[in-house]
Amino acid sequence: MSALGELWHIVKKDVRQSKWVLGAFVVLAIAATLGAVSAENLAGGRLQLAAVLMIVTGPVAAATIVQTDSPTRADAFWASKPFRRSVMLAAKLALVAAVLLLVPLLGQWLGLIAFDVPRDEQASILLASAGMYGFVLLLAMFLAALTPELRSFLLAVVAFLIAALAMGIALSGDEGSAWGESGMRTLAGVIGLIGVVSLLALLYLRRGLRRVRTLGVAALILLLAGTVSSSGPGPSRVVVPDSARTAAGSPGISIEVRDTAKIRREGRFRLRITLTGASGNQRYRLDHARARFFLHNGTTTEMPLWVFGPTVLRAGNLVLPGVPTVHDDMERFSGPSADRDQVVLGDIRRAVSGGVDSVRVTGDLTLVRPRVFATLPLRTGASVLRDGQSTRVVGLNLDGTDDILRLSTKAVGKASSDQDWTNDAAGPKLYLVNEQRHEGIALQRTNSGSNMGLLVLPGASVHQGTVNYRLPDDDDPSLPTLDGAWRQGATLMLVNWEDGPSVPVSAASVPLPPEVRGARRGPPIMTGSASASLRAHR
Amino acid sequence: MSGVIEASHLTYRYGRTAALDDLSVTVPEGALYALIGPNGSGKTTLLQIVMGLRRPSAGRLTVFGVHHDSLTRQQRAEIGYIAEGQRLPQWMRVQELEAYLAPLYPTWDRALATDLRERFELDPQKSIGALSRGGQMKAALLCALAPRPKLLVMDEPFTGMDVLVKDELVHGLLETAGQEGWSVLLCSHDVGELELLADWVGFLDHGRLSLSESVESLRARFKRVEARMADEGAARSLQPAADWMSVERAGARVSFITAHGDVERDERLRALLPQATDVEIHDASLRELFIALATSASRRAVKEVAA
Repeated sequence: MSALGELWHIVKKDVRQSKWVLGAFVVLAIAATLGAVSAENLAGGRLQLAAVLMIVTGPVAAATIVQTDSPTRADAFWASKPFRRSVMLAAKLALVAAVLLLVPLLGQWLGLIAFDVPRDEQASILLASAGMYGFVLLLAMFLAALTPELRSFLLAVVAFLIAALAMGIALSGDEGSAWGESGMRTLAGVIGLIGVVSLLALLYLRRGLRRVRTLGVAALILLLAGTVSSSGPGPSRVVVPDSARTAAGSPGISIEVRDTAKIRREGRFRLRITLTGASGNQRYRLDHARARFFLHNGTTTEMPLWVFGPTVLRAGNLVLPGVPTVHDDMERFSGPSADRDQVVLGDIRRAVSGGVDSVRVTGDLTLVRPRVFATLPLRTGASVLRDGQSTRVVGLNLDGTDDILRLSTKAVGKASSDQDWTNDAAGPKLYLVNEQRHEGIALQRTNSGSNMGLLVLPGASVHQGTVNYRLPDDDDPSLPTLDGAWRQGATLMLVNWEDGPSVPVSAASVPLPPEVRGARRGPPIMTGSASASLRAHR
Repeated sequence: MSGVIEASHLTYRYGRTAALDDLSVTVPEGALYALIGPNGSGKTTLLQIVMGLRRPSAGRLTVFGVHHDSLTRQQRAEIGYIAEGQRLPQWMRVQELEAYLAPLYPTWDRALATDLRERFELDPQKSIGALSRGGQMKAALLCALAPRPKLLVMDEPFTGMDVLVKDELVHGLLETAGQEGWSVLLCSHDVGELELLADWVGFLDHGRLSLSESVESLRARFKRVEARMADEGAARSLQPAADWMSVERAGARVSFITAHGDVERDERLRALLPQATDVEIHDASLRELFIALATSASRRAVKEVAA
């Protein structure tokens, strides 16, 4: 019997032996796939439950497959028969990979195709899913190999999870130490993973190994230390090309300090940040904004400008393709200037009250670009499925005074929270557009409900929910009248605002007004201008 | 003596406990070697090491003259193994079990398999899990015998079998092993069956081999002496010699086992039994020997004699 024939011989036996658990897994995978390809939240989320159950069933099925021909039990039937040991290992891996990994991956892929997720993202998601779930299945196989039967396997899994939790807690405050360095963790994780894989192979290839459980536990501890304690990546930031830093005449910011007398009295002042040098149709977001106060006594103090966090600055009107004028959401798109009260508290307030010579505001100016990914007819039932997002109009009431539109949405992708309709900060924006009249209205979201879910496997997340929209306030004189004729030619435009490059910027106010400067007298309000710039992007 | 199995200074430890302690043993080629010993003496551990199911802590073991780690697949196919605690695939039908194993053995004899199945009255459609304990042992035995192995390793193979089948099996094994020239390493608590089968016996105790010799030699060496004394008082006052084992007194009768095979000509024995009115000498049965050896005091004695 050839090695391949022997492998097939064992796989056939294992399929028959584990048919119930494998069958249950495949049924759950099919149900999860049905849920994944559906644009709707089918069966009230029961198909989502199928995905969760499938993910849990997989390791149990893998354990069953391993323990039917245990590599560590001295009473295992196969062990005294002339099987090729390497073929036995290969058969177990092949069955686990073919059924427990490939079947749900296929479902995942169908889900990604159904949601029109871009191909490169599909590959990356599938790779991530295969990696994650493959890792889980490998761990399950390893634990199953070290334990004599299913009950002790389940106990080992519980112990492993508790150990993972305990280790996560123990190492969570270890960020600054040598161990907290990601290099050490990665090394531990890699050694642990190599240990797990090697031991699993050795268990099959060289039967009767001694101290395997001790070695196995050591490998698992290393693996846990390397993976559980790893903190997630920091906040993402677009890398700035050097060329973007040096371009002259590009956007920057200027600042204006007002109501400074309130710092001493009320612990607040007014700060206006104005976009300078930007072209009319660009939008910019000021991230990580901080104010540095140059104090009278020669020292400095610094505070974050929280209120500018999500603010988007724009030089002129929003420009969408074919729509030069859009009546925008002024809360989020505040025009070329953003004017906010800044609260100054505690030590900073005391220090600032002693007298300030000047203020410098720094931050990262990030270009935000619109990408129209879909245009929908203005009617109930209209739907679109593109770029991992499905959107369906489930309610439309253009005559009403309250909400005019209700959307059912489902976003699928590697980090679908970035596309989540219900995520006001990062989700897509919706515009009513009449191209014939060259007019557009940005709709304002009023309320939303959402839940997170799985596609089929981890690696691709799902956000689904409903979002309601209304028109901007009626008292805006520039708002077009939504009469029948306007509605006749109107469409819904779905736009993703995507980050472009960003550059650090700073602007100073020199000197400050006298009420802030204390005893010294100075000129009235003065403004400073940008000291760094961003190349214009069109 | 060339051995199909040769163990040299074999040690196996479970933690701090030595299941096998510097054990050296040779199973002669073509012999039916019975390994006997009390529970926990290391019999199963030794058999599992022979089968490669456990790795010794120290020492060397060869099977067919090859280090047991280096046995080829072909050579492993020439070893049949059944064990009482072996986990058979319970879900398989008997005929499926045969079909699953047959392709692995170039020498699998379908006719023999069918013959054994019929002799054991195994229903081919019945799943292994539905068989009685004895039935499952029969199925395991069928799988071990059908490839006509050169070496058969059997750990308590008669467990759960009814007397008729056991008897048939014992005779069948004797016949087949003799005809085919099989070597058999067997351990069983059923010493009575072993007596019929074995031509070599090893006695294992606390991981050490107390004796290992042919049954012929054992019979020649170990004798049961039954003496009728003049009266009960004489029997009670008789002081046993250091090498007597399993000394029993019943009224005026005294019986014991001695390792002096030429007991008839043993002057010392005659001196010890001056008041004996009648002395009968028999070959000691394996069962009697087992009981004798299993008693610690007797074990000390036999070691001295064996030495």
